[in-house]
Amino acid sequence: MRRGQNNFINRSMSAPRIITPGPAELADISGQVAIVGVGESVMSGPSGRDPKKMAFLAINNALADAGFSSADVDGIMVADGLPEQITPDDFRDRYGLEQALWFSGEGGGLARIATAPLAAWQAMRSGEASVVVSVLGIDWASQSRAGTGGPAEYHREHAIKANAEAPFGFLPQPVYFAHIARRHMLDFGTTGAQLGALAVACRRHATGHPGAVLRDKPLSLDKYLAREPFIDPLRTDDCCLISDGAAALVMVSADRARDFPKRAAIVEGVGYGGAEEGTMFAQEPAFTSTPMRFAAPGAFAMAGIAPGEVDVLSLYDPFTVTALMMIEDMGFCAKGEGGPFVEGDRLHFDGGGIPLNTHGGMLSHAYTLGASHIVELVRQLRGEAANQVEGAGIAIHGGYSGSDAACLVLRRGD
Amino acid sequence: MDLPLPDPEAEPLAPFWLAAQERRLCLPQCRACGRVDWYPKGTCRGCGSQDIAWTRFSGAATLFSWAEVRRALDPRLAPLVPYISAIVTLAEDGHSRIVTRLVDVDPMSLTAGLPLAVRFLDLGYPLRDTALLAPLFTCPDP
Ligand SMILES: [Zn+2]
Repeated sequence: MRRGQNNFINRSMSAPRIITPGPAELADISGQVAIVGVGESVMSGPSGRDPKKMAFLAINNALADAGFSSADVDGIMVADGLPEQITPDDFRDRYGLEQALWFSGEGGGLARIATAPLAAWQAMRSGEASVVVSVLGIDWASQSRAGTGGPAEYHREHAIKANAEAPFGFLPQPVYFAHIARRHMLDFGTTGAQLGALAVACRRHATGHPGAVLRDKPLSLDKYLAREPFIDPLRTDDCCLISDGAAALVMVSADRARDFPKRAAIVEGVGYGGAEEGTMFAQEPAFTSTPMRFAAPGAFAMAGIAPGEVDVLSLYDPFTVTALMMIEDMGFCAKGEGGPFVEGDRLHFDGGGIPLNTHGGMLSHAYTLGASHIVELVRQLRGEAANQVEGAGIAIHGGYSGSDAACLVLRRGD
Repeated sequence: MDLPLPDPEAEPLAPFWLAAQERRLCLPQCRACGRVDWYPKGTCRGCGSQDIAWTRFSGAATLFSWAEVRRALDPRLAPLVPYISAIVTLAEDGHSRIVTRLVDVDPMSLTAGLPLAVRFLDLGYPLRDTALLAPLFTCPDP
């Protein structure tokens, strides 16, 4: 195929995302897809680095990890709607190649990284792709510093928010989630120290991870509590980093899973659900829940596992309270019991509970919108993680975007 | 930096802001079941009716949730700091959630369900003058 011609796109890259409230019915792909390579760029704060260059660095590392060359790739997935993601033409230009590339906006990061294996499997089954790379590159640290973009941009430019919320100071996301955290505290007695336990666990993991942005910034619960809330009840340590960086993964059909240099991670379950009110958090009827309550049951059922069987957990963690709600919504504990559940070292990789974000998460590793979470889970299942959970066999990721959530169950390959 | 002002003539919220300039709290309400249609969908979230009309509300409300903003992340909001961002529930519809700002209240006194009353004040009250009236909330007169 000639460059730029007939790239298959499974959904228009410019069409608005239609999200249906409640759980989605997904095809059963248990045991069908394997993740056989992962890679990242260097993670940092504002760096001036080009997001596409970072994305290609992550792709290079992921392909090398899997023993592939760029010529083997016939499918690319990104997160549509995000600025500056790579295109099939970028890929061909970068590597001087001419191959046809299946292209999908249903990967990259956010909620949909958790269901990316489903879209990849559909392309594999129809013969449109066999080696699929999902990548996310982002320079929101640089954009935020320059005032030219970043995570608040969507919320600033939303017409209803601009007329009904922003004039009253309800902007940007930390203000939304401060209200949600407050209500969780009012309804269930959750405390600042319990939110702090999530921040401390993620930071502890970052200090053990050489690639984490906050690897040199240890955080104790006392230190967390000593910092006054800046958007009360949220402290800065309750809020994720804004980063420059990229992460990529390589997917193939699971029947090839044994053909790679490193142990594969097998996809056992996926689930997806939408919020009632999209990103209008103030109007969400289930104010202290996330759509993970719709996404997780399907993923667990497809994989045939219960929360008690999970060895490692990663969650999209823009705020501590978001991860807390998703722990509840996944069924690790009942709604409202998340506070006591996360206390102490129960989320630490060696705490004997349920290890959370063992790379540090977006709170302390980097804000790559969940892409690095998958990289970390694959490393855990291989037994090569920096903060290795002993005997990790089942790993779960919870992806999130506010308006939707998705859940991915991974099992250690043979 | 200037506060982020609404466009009082932009649909679908124009009647809300235009009423506020006349010190009236108006929201779209389902005529079948009384539920507030906020933000406007045109189909009632309670009963599915499309018989929805802009309606005047008393301004009596209770506190649903709040956040005390001591540092604004959006530079346009810096002139308001410190301020209390809030979501309130109107007396006429227990499901309703209205984003607003609390004024002339002690942050330490706030509790879930605290009775509140609307006050039409300058959107930038008490620190900025925007020449636009907005429904802010405070404790009702005793
Ligand atoms: Zn109705």
